[in-house]
Amino acid sequence: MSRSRLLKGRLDALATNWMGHRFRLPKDRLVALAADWGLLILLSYCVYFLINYWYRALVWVKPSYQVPFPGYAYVLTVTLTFLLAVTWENVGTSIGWKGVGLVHSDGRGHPLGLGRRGARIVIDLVSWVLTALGTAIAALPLAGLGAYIHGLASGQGLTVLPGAILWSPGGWLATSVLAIVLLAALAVAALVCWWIARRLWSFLWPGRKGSTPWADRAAGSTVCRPSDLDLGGRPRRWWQTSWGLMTLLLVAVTVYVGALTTQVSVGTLIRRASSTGYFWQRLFSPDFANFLRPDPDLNDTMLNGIIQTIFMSLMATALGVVFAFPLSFLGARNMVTKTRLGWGVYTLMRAFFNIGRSIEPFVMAVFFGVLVGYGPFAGVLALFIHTIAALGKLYSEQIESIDPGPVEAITAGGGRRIQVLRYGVMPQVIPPFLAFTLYRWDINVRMATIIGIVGGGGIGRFFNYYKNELRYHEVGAVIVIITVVVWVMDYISGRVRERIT
Amino acid sequence: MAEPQLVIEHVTKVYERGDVLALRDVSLTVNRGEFVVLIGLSGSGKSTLLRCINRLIEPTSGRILLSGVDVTAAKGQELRSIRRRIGMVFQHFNLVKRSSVLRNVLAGRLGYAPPLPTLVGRFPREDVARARQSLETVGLVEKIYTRADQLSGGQQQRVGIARALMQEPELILADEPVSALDPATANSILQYLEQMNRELGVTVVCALHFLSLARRYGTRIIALKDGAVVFEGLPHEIDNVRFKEIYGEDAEEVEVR
Repeated sequence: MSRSRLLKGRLDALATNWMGHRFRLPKDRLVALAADWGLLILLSYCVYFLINYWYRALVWVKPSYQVPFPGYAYVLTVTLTFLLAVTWENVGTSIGWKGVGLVHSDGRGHPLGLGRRGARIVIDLVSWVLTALGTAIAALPLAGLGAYIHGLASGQGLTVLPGAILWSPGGWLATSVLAIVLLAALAVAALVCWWIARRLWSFLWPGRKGSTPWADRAAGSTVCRPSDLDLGGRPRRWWQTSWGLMTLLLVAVTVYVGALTTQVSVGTLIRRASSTGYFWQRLFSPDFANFLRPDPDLNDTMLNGIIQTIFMSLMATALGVVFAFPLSFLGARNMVTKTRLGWGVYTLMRAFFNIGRSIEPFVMAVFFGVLVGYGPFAGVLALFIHTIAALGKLYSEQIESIDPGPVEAITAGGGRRIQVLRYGVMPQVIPPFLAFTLYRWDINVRMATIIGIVGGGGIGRFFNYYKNELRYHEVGAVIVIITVVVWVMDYISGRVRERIT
Repeated sequence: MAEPQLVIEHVTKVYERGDVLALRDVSLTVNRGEFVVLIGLSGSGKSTLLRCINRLIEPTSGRILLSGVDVTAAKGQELRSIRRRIGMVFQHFNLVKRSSVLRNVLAGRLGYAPPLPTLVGRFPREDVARARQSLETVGLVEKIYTRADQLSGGQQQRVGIARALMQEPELILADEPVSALDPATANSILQYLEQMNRELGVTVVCALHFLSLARRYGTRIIALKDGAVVFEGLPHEIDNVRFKEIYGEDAEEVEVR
């Protein structure tokens, strides 16, 4: 079957399923379920945390006491929250469904009645429990294998499963037959489990004639956009809906648990502030003696430190641009995704950009310090990697948002691919690229000032040293220098960027 | 005189993503020196058809011949040398807004110019002279170093025409070249196309919205509806009945002079 016919079959099935609407419903429903499930897991964590906290607060136990939470409790929590999420989506409009913009409907544009929702709940729950049971049974051989490997690893040899089969009273033949029958039963269980899941999720893999999930079929329900629903009156206010109340509860509980976890306490702040006067006094009377005179302990002046910092950021930015520029074209969807290979390259580049940005330069500086020795070079390398990723992403997004017109015009005039890049794309992206680069340099200066704290050289080295030596007059001076330099760079880069774009 | 220059045979285009049939079995012949006007509602397939001719869009099936050469089978260098013989004028001009007028016009010459020097921005001296000449033709030579985004819409479209002229085209495809312009400017732009058609003998295939403009400039009119040809004939043959056929029952003709 050709690809287009397959596609067509899929679309037709969707159309018959969903009142002729061709939404991305399967994906939306999955995303919504995942979101609801995740939120309920978050809620259950908070509940467990609070039980622990209150138990310790009300019943006198030692502060490290934990209410027991064995391994199977994790499995139970994950399973129960899933079933709860499924039920929630059937009872009312869950946060996930609200988020992706879906509601249940009876297929004629009216909301689903209570009875039909009840039917949905029963069928969904029963089939999910069956699926879970089937999965558990089908996973038994894995458990057996695990026990076997565990037995081998712990030096008990063949004492567990295979041993039991070989030396059982019925003899090896009867045992083998039994084992085969057992395995067959397990396979059947797995198949049944798969079959149930298939019927539950049939909106994901519509058959040739199109198929409807069991719960939808039994309740005669379907899903649609809220705007397609005739509510027969005023829609409910947010506090009258399940998603609204749930959001309120989640926010309240999360903030409460968050405050407890991070030990936020206004009392501590006030109590401690009054007893650290000497520290503030020194910090606010900065000592600039070492600005021009080399510090005997560090063998360098603060001026050299800040200059080194600025050069670190300059090198990291310059080197970063050299790599980010070509890579950004490979990471721009409209440049490479004409072929399958192009999609691969695009995905790879995007992954690199995203991962590269999510690792903080401080963390990288520690690793590069091990690699090339602690000092400015390690700092430059750390900033360099981060700059490639950050600029690559900014650049490629800029390339993706160009006006496709000139590209089309130059292609139509018989230009080569490289000429299209040079005359259709580059003139459009170079000015914004310059602006992004300046912006990045600005960020790099800011990061380079503190990267010395983890051994990256520059002014950060002074900060770290003085802080450890409790020389707070000098710490104050370093803070003033950093603030002034960052502010000046920020101001200049802002003004220049205004000019460019 | 009736020498077929462009032959379109059973061209069909399906957009898979939207599952849309944009062109349904379109067959046409355009003779050398004609000024063919394509009319039809938005979404009737005019743009798709024009872009299939120079393969900016790949037709799903069918064949297109330009002066006997199969465009649909061409690849690489062959496709580029076919494309450089076909000038194209766009609805939104498709100029690089940040570049100068000269640079935009020279971009039309990329199909001919030696590839390596153009990468560092150098063009042969005769190409620059030719650009100046094309700009003279459209009366914009005094704006040669102006940035393209500082020109008015009509001036930008004239730059677009000068760029197409740089290709020494034997065929010009114009995709609603005047939809973004006011009526007076629209006429002057179409007059430039008419001038090229009459004086240089360039064949023009032009998509237009307004029937009055189509009647005035076209030597032949082809109407598309839902991706199929519904009318093909001389401008004066479109009467009220035909008009309703093409544009639907509720349409009323709007005059643009």
